[in-house]
Amino acid sequence: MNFFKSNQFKILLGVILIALGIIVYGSVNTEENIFTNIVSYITVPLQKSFSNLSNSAHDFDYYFKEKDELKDENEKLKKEIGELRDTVIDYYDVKRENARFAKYYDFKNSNKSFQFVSAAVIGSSPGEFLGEFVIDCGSKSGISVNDAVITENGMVGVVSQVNSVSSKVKTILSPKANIGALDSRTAESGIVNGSTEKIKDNLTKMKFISSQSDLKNGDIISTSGLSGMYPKNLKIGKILSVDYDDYESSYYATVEPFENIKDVKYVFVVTDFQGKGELKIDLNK
Amino acid sequence: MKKHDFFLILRLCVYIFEFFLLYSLEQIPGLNAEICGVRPLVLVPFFVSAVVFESEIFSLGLGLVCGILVDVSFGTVPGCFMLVLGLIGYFIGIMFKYFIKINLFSAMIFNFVILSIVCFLKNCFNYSKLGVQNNFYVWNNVFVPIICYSGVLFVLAYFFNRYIYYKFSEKRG
Repeated sequence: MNFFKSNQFKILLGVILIALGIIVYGSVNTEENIFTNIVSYITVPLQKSFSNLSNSAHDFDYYFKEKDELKDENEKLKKEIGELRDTVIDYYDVKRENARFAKYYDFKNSNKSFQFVSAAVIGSSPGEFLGEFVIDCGSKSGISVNDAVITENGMVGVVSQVNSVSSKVKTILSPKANIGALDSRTAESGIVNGSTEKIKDNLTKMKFISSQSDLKNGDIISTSGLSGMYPKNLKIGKILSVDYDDYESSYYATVEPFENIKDVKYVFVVTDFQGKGELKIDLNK
Repeated sequence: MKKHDFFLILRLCVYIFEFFLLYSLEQIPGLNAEICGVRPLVLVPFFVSAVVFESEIFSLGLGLVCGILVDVSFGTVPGCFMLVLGLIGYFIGIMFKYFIKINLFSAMIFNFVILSIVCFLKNCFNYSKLGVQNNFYVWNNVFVPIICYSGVLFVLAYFFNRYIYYKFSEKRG
C-alpha cells in the first residue's frame, strides 16, 4: 500500500502540524505557555516533595548514626526515639526557616519599599550548564519576568521565565544575564554577564569597563538600578581581578559572588520596589 | 476492549508515569551524582529504551510526551523537542520493527546518536549565540561528558523497560 495514503501517514502529518502549531503558539506567547503550565502543575508538587526529601537527607543521616548507637536499646525506647526524631526534624526545619526569615526581616527593614516572595529551589535541568534553576513560585505568587532574585548574601539572579506555579531563574553566573552594576568605591559602571568557563568556579564577569578604570581587587560590586528593572545597591560580589579580553577587545573584572550559587536552596524574589520601571538615566548628560 | 489494546493502554500509562517521575527526579539538584561536573540526562535513555520495543505509532506518542518534558526542562519553545523526539520515536519504531534486531548493543548505538542529536539541538536552540570559542568549551566540558554519562545509564534503562514491556504485554511468559 502506498505509504502516503495510509492512516499512519495521516497520523504522522497530523502530529507534525499540531507540534508546529504548538511551536508557533509558544513563540508568540513568550510570557506564559499553557503546555509548560500543564507540565508544571503535574511536576512541581513531585519536585517539591523530592526536593524536600533531598534537603532532609543530611538530617536523616545524623539520625541513622544515632540509631546504630542505640541498637541495644529495647523496643520501647526505640519507638520513643523515633517519635523524638520526627519532632527534632520538624524543629530543625522550623529553626532553619526561622533563621532565614530573621535575616530577611533585617533586610526588609533596611529596604522598606521591597515586596518579597519567598521561594525554594526545586530543580535545575541536567543539561543546564549556565547556572540556571527553577523555583517553586510563579505568576500566581506575583512573580514576573526580570524580577530580581536574592538571598541574604546579595543578588543571585533574575527571573527569566514564568509559569503559574514555577519560574526559571538565570543566575548572575549565566552568559545570558545582563545586569547593570556599579563599583561601590569608584561608582564606575559595567554589565554583569557570566562566562561559561567560569561557572564551575562560581565566578562571573563585569564587562564593558573603561580602559581608564580604577577598579581594584576586593572592590564590592552592586546593582546600579539604572534600568529600573532591579533595585539599586543589591550586593553582587567582590572583584578578584581585572583583565583584558582579547576576544571581545575590552576590559573585564572577574567577580566572585557573595553567594555560592550552586548551593542556594531558598531565595526571595523582589516583586516590587520603589522606582520599579523608572529609567534613571539622564538623557541630557 | 481487546486484551492487546488493554495492555497497550496500560503500558502507555506506565511509561507516562515513568517519564514524569524521572523528569522530577532528574531536576533535583544534588540527587544524581555529578561526574566531571555534569549530571546525566535521564529521560532520553529511558525514552530510547522504551521505543525500541514498541510499534512506530506508539513510539511517536511516547516521543511527544518525552519531548514536551524535555522542552520544559531545557526551557526551549514548547513543541521543538516534542516534534523532534516524536519523529525520532517513529523512526526508531520502524527501524527496530522491520530492519534491526533488538539487542542491547544496537539500542545503545541509537541511544548515543539520539543523545548527540538532543545535545546538538539544545546547543542550537539555546546557546549558539555564545560564540564559537564558548561552543567548543561547552561541547568539551558539558555535552560530551553528559552523553557518556547518560549513555552508561542506558544499560539500566534498557533492562528496566524491557521488563516493563514483557510484564505488561501479551507476550509475557
